[in-house]
Amino acid sequence: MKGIMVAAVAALVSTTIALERVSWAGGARKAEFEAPVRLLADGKFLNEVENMLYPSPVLLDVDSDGQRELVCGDLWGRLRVYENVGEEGDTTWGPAVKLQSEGKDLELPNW
Amino acid sequence: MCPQGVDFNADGVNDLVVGTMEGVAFLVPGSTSGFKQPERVLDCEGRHILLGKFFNREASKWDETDRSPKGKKNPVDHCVAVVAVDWDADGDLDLLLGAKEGRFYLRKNKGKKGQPEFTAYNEPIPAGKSVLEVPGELTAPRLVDWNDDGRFDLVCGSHDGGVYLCENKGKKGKPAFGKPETLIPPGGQPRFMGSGSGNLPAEPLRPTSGCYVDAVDYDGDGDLDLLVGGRCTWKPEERQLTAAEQQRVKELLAEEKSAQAEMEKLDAKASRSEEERATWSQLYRKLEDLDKELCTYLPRPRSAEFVWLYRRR
Repeated sequence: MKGIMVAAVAALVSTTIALERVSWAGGARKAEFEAPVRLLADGKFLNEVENMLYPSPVLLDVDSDGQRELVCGDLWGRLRVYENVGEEGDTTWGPAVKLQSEGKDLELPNW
Repeated sequence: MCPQGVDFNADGVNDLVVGTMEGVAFLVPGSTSGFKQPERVLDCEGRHILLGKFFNREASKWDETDRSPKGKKNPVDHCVAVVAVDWDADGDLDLLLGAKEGRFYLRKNKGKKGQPEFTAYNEPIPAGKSVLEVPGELTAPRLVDWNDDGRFDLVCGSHDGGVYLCENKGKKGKPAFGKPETLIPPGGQPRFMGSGSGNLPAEPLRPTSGCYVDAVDYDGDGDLDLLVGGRCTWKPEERQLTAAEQQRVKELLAEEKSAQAEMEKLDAKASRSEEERATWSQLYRKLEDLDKELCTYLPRPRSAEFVWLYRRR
């Protein structure tokens, strides 16, 4: 039974990966992706602690230090910033910090 | 809500341009001492930049308006995303608006760099003989040179979990987009909490709905990868519970039933006060927390949102 389940999961993973090897018409270039991986922040899956709804990731230099931070918006109108705390050439995201505006958490009116 | 980092006011510091569910365009001005308070972007007539549907703060209700070009009638679309871009290559930033319904509109800037004067109407973006449209309810578009031909292409996520590419086949100052091509197929799973079917993986394998995307060279290998924030549903395998765990499950299920009943009462109301909207949000979070704990005991479908990397080969 366990063997069947392992085979089923393996088949599902393989199907998922195959679906994501996509090409588009009109060019020789292909958009092929490796199987998706979940990003970590502070050693846990990103958003395991923050519990954002509809996280929208973007890489931006928000503190003008010449290095891109990972910034995530959410449904509630807040923005969280993750600093890259890895060594040079290595991307390791630190814990989430809410983006500030004039000393307070920045919050956009969402509705 | 998806931010774009751009020097909107041409002062040498990055600002944030953001579309929200309220339906209007926001600017968060950056400065050397940090970000200022968000402000709504205005058009050349001093009105908010929006499409047809928006949340009217003064009346505290969803409302509709018409900003169609003269002699034309746009659909009543809901603006959820904004991108500042020099669309017509005249040296200043125009605004591309993304509608939840999947369509795109342009507000041209008739002013100067850093002193915008946006047109007062929404110009639909054409695609061949029709209008540019992505399937699955769009989340937010990104304009990036995906195919490395020197023109900005459009990459867009969707609520159905698909990510689409519309290649720009136009000329500088006159973008022309082709039909959407699938970069990531739709997730094929239910969108909302607790509504999973029987064919769910035992662990999260990919984002399947509510996918917000950024196209960036994440690994520094010279091509654009996809960062995708999105929801997925999975069903952990069943396990034997201790007596104490069974008792806890009983308590949690009772709490869940009560919160669901309260939420249903609020859902049944035609309009809600500020206080009721806050209560609804609290209940939503409470239900999520209860579901999260129940999922540690019961093999019920579990949903959560993560940020995923699709590394390009």
